[in-house]
Amino acid sequence: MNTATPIIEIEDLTVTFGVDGDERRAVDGVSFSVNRGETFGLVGESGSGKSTILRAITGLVANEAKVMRLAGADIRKTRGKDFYRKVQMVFQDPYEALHPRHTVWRQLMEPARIQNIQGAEARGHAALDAVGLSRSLLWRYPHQLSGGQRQRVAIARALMSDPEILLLDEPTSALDVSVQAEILNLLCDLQDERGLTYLMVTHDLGVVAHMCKRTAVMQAGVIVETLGVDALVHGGATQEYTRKLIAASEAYGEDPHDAAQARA
Amino acid sequence: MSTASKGLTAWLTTEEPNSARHATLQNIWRVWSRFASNPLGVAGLVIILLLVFVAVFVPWLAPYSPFEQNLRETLMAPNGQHLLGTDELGRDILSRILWGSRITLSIVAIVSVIVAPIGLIVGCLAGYYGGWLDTILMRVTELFLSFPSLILALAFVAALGPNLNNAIIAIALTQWPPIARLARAESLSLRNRDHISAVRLMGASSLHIVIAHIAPLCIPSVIVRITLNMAGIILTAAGLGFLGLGAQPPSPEWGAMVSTGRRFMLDSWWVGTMPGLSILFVSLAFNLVGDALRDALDPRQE
Amino acid sequence: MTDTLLSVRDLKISFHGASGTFDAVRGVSFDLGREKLGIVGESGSGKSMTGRAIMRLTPPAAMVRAERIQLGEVNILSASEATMNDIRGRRIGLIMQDPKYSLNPVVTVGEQIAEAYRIHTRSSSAQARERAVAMLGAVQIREPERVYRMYPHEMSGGMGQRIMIAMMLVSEPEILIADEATSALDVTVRLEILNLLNDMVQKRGLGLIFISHDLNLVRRFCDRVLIMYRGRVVETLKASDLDQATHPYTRGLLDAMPRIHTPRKRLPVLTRDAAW
Repeated sequence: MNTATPIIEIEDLTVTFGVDGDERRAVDGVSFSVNRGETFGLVGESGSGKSTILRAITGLVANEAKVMRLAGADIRKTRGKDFYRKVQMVFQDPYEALHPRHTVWRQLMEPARIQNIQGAEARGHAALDAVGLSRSLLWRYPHQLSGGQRQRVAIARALMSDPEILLLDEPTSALDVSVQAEILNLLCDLQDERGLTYLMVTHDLGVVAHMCKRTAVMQAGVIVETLGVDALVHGGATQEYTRKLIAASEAYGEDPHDAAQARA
Repeated sequence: MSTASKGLTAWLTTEEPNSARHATLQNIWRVWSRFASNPLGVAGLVIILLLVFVAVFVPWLAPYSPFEQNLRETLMAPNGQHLLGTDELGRDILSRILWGSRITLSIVAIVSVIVAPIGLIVGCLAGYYGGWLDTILMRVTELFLSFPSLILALAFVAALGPNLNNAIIAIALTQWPPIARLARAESLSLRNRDHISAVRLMGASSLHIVIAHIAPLCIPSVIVRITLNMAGIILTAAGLGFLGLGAQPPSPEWGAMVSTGRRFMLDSWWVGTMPGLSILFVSLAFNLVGDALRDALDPRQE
Repeated sequence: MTDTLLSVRDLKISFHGASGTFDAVRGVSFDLGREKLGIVGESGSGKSMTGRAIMRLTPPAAMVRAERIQLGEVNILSASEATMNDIRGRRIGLIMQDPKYSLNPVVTVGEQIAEAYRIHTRSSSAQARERAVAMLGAVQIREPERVYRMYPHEMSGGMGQRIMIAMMLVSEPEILIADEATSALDVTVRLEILNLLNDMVQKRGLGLIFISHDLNLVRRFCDRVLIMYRGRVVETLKASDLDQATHPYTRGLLDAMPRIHTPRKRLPVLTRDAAW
């Protein structure tokens, strides 16, 4: 994508937790940009600050940045109504992310009510169809759904405002492998249909390799390196930490024959 | 089980409800079936329903007037004519207890109606917004909490003048702080949950989040807490009555009746014991219902 | 794999609830020798419940029936609670996903290990302490003397899991059950813990039941794999033969995983057959 324009531009983003005297930088001077229609990965181990970046972008945690521009709008100080329409987030644990005492339909109607979306009902049905949920589930509560169904509801809810950017925070790590495959496929389909841009946080290199074109590798709040997934997979990593991460994932993860083939 | 009721049960437990109302009714049904599986809770509920029934139909249930004195029949032990005996003015104790149920019930109802909203609003605002608002609201709450509730109620009644309405207001003033603290703790933990974050990302205002999302989720634990506090409320009301600062004679308030009975404790035990037992059973019933409700409303059961 | 440590035949676990009977495990049989046996399945497959049943730690509402659960000379099905208390910890150790819930937060980790040793061996406290420190060294904790005095909240995830392993191994059990023991750990830490477990199994000749949802991990780590689906073992394989798996469920699981080296446009989706 040579002609693509960046839709997410982040420069020198810093998030500090704790009070005076006992401060800890969870994210320390991070810069990256993501092109329209691209899937960009943020990979790292727990505590690397990858999820904190998503929360900083959405304003859920306080932060400082030299540049923070999403879909053309500067969001360092304020986020307008428009921001919440264009940017949505999908969380790791779909059970936690859904209101425990609202039915599926009410979960979908909530963003429509808050944002005053016209034709909410039609849009709700369209969103359900888009994520492949049956109408018979409309009046169930989250606890009456399977993990995969819950994540589909969460994605459908995110689609209600017709967003341009989805922030995906480990969207499949709480799901079974076979369900993960369904959700990843769904995300790919939605991207093809709607030209969505994904910023995806994950610890799973397999998922990154499957979903992303480019990825940033994070450690202790810092981006160690940003590289294409082809390079990541085929030994193009330049940093010691990235290599260690790949080696560890392969040692007890990857299909051995598959890995052997790739090396040959 | 008839086919109709079987059909209803199936409708209430089907996995595919077909309207919002259907889903709500199913939810109520689930809470009820969990509640019903607790025999002690059901027993408590029966006592409370009985109390409500008596309070409504007392003019037809009570054998005598609660105020009518009969000085020829004072301090009679329980017998065929007066099932629970008579007091020092010859009034029928059973009738007085039955009429007293109205007073007890109205205390309970009015206190809940005052306490629940105040506690919920103060707690949710303090918990969700945090910062200086939290500091101010919680210091005020702690001010109220730092006195034993009966002492505080005594002070209020002494200042406002001894009568039943003032007693109810005084009790309400002492009962909201624990509810506020509870709602604040719940709000604090809800504030950082993902489903609240999700609503924030829809662009919802903080006020909308507190009213439409935080407060409704706090309501079940507030209901449980208030139900459990009912026993305390009844006892405080009885205590104020006992000390002569609640309902005034000749009103048949149970606490006040115990207070009069104290004078005849040794030779006419029934005068104090009968209303005392009523207080015991009703507060026990509220406690049992509260316990059962706590289990039934706990979403972790699902 | 010469001798059988544990033998399970036709294990069935069911729950009776208001909405009818739910069969969590529907006839599971296997033998465990001195090997690393993997039990793989998705959520709801009954894999954890199977592990619990071996230690008789199923929830009270569960109905457990089996033709046989035999640990050496002990029949687990009919053993007294006192016998079971002796077996738990001394003969069978259990490591769970989150060590925080398995450790007492107000007692130092060293004392907890020493305590575990004392309960099962009736040794003096000095002996137990010495043994606990040695055990901390054995699970490759640097400065075991210092860690001995630390509290559970001061541990990272990987360190907590080492402590759990030390605590379970200090009384020299015959069998170790690891229930998703490495699932919450980062890949680099997971690697160290698995190597450690492997080492322990080799050196001490114990039987390891490794319960996990991660098929790739199990195939690389274990000797033999049971694949469970909805309470049944659908297939038992040597881990190295997993590629020759014939059952459509196993095949479907293998295919559904994203691969680092051979990218595919779409991931094949598992179609479930009610007959499995």
